[in-house]
Amino acid sequence: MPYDPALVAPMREELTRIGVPELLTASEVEEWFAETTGTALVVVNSVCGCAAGQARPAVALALRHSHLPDRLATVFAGQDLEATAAVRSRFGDVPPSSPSMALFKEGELVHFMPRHRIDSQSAEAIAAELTAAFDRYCATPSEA
Amino acid sequence: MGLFHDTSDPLHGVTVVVETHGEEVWVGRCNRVEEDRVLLFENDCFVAAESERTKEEWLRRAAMVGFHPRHPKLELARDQVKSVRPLIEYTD
Repeated sequence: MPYDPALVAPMREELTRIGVPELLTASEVEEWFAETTGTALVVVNSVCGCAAGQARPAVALALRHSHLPDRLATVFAGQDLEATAAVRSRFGDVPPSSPSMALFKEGELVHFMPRHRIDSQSAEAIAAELTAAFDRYCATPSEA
Repeated sequence: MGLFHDTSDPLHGVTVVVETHGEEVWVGRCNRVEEDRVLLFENDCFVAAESERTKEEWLRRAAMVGFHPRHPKLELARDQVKSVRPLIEYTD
């Protein structure tokens, strides 16, 4: 059962206020994934403070990096059920977990951070893994 | 900001591998490790007789992409448990 929206609102805002738009419905997800040019990061947000409490600050840190995905989006697991299921359907045979982060390039999943690579890590360590993926997949050939 | 829980267990909320003295190996989200029991949520279990993979292959894949939580809750008696370690430590 989803949590009280008032409880979840600040957790949503931690990402939306740094420029990560929310996808709230399956149709918004489909529209977002219809664009396959370039790179795109989707963050599966979660209420769990043990893991997401580090994940959201990590995304904020990573988005200060020099190489960034062309597009960003987030869905909220356990809250926006339809949108989250639609995003997870793009992860192939990767099991569902939240929080998690998925980087796509030209429409293909190229890097995935499941919950267990987040829940025992500091925000800085999570950001380091994310920015390493940004360097690998989001830099132009001359920068890489 | 987030929903935290009433425990100071350092493994609380961490995805762990619980190796037992038997053939079973569990992967799941640790709730707490107590003197007499280990509590996990959202678990999966490796049973050699039911798997096409070896235990090492199964753990390597779980460490790489995660696992399907087929069991919502598990309570293991501590004397069944050989070790409890974060799944991330099984990454190559």
